[in-house]
Amino acid sequence: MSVFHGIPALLQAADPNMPIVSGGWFFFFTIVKMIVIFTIYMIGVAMLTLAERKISAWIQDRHGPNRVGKGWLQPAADGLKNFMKEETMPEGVNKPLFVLAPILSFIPALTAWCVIPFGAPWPTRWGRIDLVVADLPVGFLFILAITSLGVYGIVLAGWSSNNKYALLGGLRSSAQMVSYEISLGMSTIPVLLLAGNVSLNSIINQQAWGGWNVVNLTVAFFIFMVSAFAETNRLPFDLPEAESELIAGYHTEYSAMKFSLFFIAEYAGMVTQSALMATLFFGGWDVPFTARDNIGPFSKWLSLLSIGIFLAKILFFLFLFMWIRWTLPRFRYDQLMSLGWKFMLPLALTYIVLIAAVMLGLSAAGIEQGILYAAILGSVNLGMLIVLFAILDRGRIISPAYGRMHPKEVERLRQLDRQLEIKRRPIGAEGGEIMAIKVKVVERPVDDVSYIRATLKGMALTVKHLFDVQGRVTTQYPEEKSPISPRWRGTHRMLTTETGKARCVACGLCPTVCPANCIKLVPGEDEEGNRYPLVFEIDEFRCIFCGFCQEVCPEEAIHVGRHYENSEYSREGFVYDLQRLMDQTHPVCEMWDPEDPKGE
Amino acid sequence: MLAESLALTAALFIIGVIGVLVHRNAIIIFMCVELMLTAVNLTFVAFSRFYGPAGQVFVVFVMTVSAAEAAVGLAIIISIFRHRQTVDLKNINLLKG
Amino acid sequence: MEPHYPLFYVFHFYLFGVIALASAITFVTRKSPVTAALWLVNTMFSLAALYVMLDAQFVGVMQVLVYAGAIMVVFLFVVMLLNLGHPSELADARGGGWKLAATLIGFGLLSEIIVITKTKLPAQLVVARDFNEQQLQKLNAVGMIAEPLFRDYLLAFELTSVLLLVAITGAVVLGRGRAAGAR
Repeated sequence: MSVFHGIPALLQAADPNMPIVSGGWFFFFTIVKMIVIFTIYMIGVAMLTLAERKISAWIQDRHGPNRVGKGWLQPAADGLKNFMKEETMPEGVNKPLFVLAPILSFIPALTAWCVIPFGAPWPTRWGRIDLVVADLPVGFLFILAITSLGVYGIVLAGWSSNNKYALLGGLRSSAQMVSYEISLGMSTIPVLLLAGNVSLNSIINQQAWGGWNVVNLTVAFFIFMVSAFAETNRLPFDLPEAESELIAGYHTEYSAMKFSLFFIAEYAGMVTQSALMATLFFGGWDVPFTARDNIGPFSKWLSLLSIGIFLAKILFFLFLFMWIRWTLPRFRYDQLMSLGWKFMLPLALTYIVLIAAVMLGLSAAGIEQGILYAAILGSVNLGMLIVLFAILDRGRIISPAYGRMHPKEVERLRQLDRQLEIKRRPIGAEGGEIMAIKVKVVERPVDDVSYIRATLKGMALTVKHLFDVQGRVTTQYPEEKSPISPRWRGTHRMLTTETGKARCVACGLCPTVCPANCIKLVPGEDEEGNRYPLVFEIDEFRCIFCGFCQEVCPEEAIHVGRHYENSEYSREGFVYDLQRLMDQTHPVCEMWDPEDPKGE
Repeated sequence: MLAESLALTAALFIIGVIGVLVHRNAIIIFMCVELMLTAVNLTFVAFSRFYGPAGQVFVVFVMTVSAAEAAVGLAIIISIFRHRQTVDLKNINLLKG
Repeated sequence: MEPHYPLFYVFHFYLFGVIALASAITFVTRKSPVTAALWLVNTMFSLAALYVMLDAQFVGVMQVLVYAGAIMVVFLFVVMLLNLGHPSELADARGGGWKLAATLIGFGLLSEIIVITKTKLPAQLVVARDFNEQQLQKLNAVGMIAEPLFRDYLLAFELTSVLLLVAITGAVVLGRGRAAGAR
């Protein structure tokens, strides 16, 4: 019956009652664990930025970063760029707080990892090493306490930036985080009820024997997932850092390393929340189907396998974070807050009462924790899921984002519209007045709107695009270039006569017509008495590439052409003199020919 | 450790009292009150080591009451600020004399 | 009455005590409410560490969760919303007379507290030296608090929850302002 029945003594036990390693070795191994976790965390966060860009690209039918080391070294390039950028310190900021804020944002995400067990205990010669940095008896409460400190970084960043957009973004973001912290904590109370203990090791133990909590407590998982998204400021809850809304929210004034610290903090928070979801609801490091076997609890290979499984679960959740980010649009701020307070919190509270009642009933009926227990809890959850997803998920019951207005309000606006109708005739007509506001009431069918099901459909579409390798299109510049129109106006070019002299006769029309004043022309007279340009300079940096100079030139000497790749190390380098303009070789812009109006 | 804890408690409490008496900014006064409550918490915890868990239970109550008081007090400060545009206690003296 | 503590323990106890005291003094002497709030958070943190060292792990974590993570955040919110965070001369301390009076009151309180703590405490209330350890093993860290809370002090617990409800309602009503209230 056991899946691992065939595997020999590899997974067999060491002494199951081995005591924990003690004394100096304990200290030493704790330091080792801390260093290992920190290293993996930092590398993981860097790779996560790459993963985000790649996954977002694949979902959007693009390739993503594929230049620096075939794309794998892109995070290193980004890190190097951030190191070398200028660190801004805007005027009027509160300097100590400005520098402290990203640090305060980063520390809680990392500290919360101290109590998360990442593998089965490892037996060694000196004792048993618990693969957790600090096995606190108040494990999970420690995590709640530390994640609630994450608000400080944002509040201080918003306030110390001396910038009203940053302040607004900081206030919004911290209000959002605080609201969803409550739902986060409430949704884990059923988990703690089932496990009977707050320590994470015992939660994992309970799941190993009693079935994963995603089966026993699905609705709690759903609430936790939504709250985790809001805690880490990820879409669909990322209004505080939305570029189009608040410039960049609380990190508007930050640049270079401080800014990247904020982003490292955000990704570190993602990793922590994924680890929490894996631990609380998916069994943590528990390898499925092994608890009931006669495979002893402590063995080196089991530890390694459990570390691998835990990593796989975390990676799955990180993928989920990114998948949802690139599927859903973001919530408006009032919708976000309504969702947190008016839907998530009552749902979590009702669920606690329900689960406590079921547990009480089960223990009164004498059913022990086991398969039957898990089955009954699972079916209760299934029922609640059906109620939630199928029955309540319509119209505005589940979403307090009121798409419809109150009927009285609608009627009042209609009255207003009728009154204004008379005044809305155009000015000058009989009895007309200045155009008044037109009131248009948009009705939306209430019963057809479904949120959770629409989300799931969107996710299906996104994942279809994710795996569609053929459909990815990206122009690999500079090997391939996008085709440009024959009428493209780019870098200037001076055409020459057969003798190599410029066609320009220094008539002075192009400097006159140039709207940006970028042409400098000094006419001169040569030996035969012809005009020629003594000095002819075009400042390509000032030029707006309108093409007027080409259109006005009577000699068809100066042209704009199909070339756009100018780059120099200084502004002076952009001033093209006559020789340089004559040396250009790109095709010129084809203008409209009056003898050939159709363009043949 | 009892004597050291109690000495620390006394010191923190006194700092809180002096802070309340000396400051004029209503919000800082509020925070000094919180400091006093925290010092009292330390007393309870220090004693609970010798006298059982009742001390820690009382600390839970003190924390709860302190949270409630902070919420209501800050709401009052916000209301006062709306009317008077100041939180300087020298200007909030309508009932004086 | 007290066991002999290892040096590691005593050193850290004094360390956190000194940090708490220094942070509190710094907190009281700051002019800007935001800086003061942050120093108070530091004080709360060191006190939480002290609680854990005194075998009160649940209370220690609660201290961080409730005080440092919620109450001080509310303080910072209010300061930021009303834009009171900038250090201003107006919100400075009161005059010299007040400071003198405050110091005298401080000394008076100090002597009172010293007198009180010198008294002998009733011996029959003292529990076994490892009582807390045993409770921790029997019920876990949360159970240690929950058992007396829900058995002996149930009435106080229920009254506290009513108090919280009243406080929430009061805070919402007070914070709404006149325009919303009159509607």
